[in-house]
Amino acid sequence: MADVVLKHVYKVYPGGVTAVKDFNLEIQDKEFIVLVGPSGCGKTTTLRMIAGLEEISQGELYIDGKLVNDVPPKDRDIAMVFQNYALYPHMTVYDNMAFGLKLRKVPRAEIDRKVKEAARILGLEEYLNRKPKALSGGQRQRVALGRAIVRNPKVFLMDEPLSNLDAKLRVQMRTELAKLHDRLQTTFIYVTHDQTEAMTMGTRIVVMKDGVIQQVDKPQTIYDYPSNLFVAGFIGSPQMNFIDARLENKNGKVYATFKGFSVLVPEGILKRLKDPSYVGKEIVLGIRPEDLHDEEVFLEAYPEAVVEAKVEVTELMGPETFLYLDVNGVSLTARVDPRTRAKAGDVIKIGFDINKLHMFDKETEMTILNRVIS
Amino acid sequence: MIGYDIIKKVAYDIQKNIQMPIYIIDKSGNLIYGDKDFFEKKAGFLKINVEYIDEKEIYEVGEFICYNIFYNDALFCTIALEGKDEQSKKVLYLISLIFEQLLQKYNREEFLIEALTGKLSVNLVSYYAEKYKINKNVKYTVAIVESNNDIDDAIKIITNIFDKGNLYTVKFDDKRFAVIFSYKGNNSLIELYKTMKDMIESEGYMKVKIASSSSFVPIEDIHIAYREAEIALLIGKKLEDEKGIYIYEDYSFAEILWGIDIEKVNNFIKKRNIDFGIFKDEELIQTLNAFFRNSLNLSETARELYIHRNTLVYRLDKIFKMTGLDAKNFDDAVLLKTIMTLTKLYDISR
Repeated sequence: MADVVLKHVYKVYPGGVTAVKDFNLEIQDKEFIVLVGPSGCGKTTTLRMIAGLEEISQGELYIDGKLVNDVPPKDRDIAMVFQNYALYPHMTVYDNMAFGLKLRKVPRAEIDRKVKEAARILGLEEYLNRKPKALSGGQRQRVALGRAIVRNPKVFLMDEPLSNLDAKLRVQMRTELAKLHDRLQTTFIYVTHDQTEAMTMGTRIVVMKDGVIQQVDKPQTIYDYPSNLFVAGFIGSPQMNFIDARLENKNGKVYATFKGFSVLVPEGILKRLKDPSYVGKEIVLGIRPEDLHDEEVFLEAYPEAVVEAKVEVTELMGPETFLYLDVNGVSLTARVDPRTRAKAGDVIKIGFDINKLHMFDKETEMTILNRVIS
Repeated sequence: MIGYDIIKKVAYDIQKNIQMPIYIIDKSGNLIYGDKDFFEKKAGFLKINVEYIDEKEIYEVGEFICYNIFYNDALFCTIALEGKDEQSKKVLYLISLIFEQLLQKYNREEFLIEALTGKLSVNLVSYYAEKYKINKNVKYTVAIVESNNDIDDAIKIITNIFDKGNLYTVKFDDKRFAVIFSYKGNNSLIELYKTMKDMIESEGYMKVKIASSSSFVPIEDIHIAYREAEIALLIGKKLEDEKGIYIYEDYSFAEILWGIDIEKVNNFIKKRNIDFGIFKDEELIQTLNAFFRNSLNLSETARELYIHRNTLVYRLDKIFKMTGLDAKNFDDAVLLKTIMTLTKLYDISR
């Protein structure tokens, strides 16, 4: 158990590529923190610097209060689980978990104790004498986790450990990992490009792009209050709709206008504007797909937030339906009730949940709304 | 040739376990392991290398029983134990087996090093491959694994990941080894190397770089595959050190440029009148690399970079202003790619 602190950390590769820029983060003891972002955003490099597999070009890294910049990986009290793991095919589950400890010349009795303890935690006790080919996919993944657990580390480092699993197993393992974190009460640092994994597993999420932290927060806070356009677009699936709009004052009310339509901006949102002078300016309006509605009741309740849209495609997903809409050239996606009567080619009315509007500066792409402090 | 140091180390380990003193005499007749005074007192002055040089069975000298270990049909060393009873003979025989197998292993490793570095003729490679039971009916690819740490653990990990047949590891020095293998798996080679890298790093706690040949060659030609892996390692580290996995076929363009007279390179770049600021602007370099990777496709590139198409066009215009080369035009794109590669290969920064 340990906290991990990164202070002004940079990674510059020979040849000048800067993979991570001025990375500052305090990871609390026992936290499950998820680094998420698109390929090349620097999340894996950051994890590898924590592991000691990449040198830190500049800045400081502390694990459990100790500066570890120059400490070799094996002495950092960490364990790693990476995407492309393999089990040793000729070894039993027991030997697979024991192998790393044998390499480190851990006494046999201690290995035995640690392997059996890890097997108990992972529910693998009855499989210890089996070879990997006699295990299911989920059991194999658990053995891979077991190899990390036996090291009894202060920090677990995981780089896309579920990416090579099929969709069903991935969902199952997501839950198992979260439970494992609860059981072990250890710091987990987890890297993924999958925002669903990030949202469901992390106690906090670090969204990265181009080697720079974009936002660090609890999953729900990131979803509700994305700090910039990138975070707003990256977190959430289908992604948030963005509309180039203008904030206009008409008869004492403020509207977001675009393509001949006006959507009322309620008092609650206006109060959160960081700078009232945005009224009268071009902004980027954001609205999540689930905050667009086609139900009659909703349209009647918010008549000043309704636009006309042509339905281009509908996708029935089971518990919900996605409508892909065209609003005078602006593409929107709505997540609506599967009982919707809208079908491709229809022109329908679509209502904005105006209390869920997001707004961003067109130049800086940063949010222009303050958070609601509860 | 295997050194006596490793022989002594193994003898020490064996002695510790069997609790019987072992004596080892080198091919020149010198006692290299064991208590010299005691041995000479009990065995008398002897010239094993002369008197018993061809002895292939257990023989007696003074109060000892001895067994000769041969390497390439010549005496390599002699193992001696005190006592003449059947039990001692059995123990001596077992110890000798361990040393013979050790030599056999090192024999094969030595052969593979010479084969990889092209020091053996095709006929000799073929002969020794047969001698060391290396399958000649499959084709091989070669990977070099390099680390800043001692790579013994990495070798253990690799040899355990794969099926035993048709995979050989050869240690070149403390930081580098080669893997010669015949791969028939379902995954691509790159996936295989990712697994190797992830496993060594997560289990062995050491950073490694892996470079691979692209050829699958008969055992007689493995020096070709090894050369390819060496080139991939050299160029890969120069062009994209951060990647850590370098496949030869990815660097064929750079290989053509590698070795050009530096003056010619300088003149070529000078003539283009390039603003070298571009090579320090990561955003632009990343943009260009993504644009090339996506075959000059604007939409695909914008999607990969998570930027708006117009932002991409703006950046490409900026590149045009700095270099006079329009990346959207194929000929100009080739020139840009060439200049980018040359500046990295030759570490040219103005």
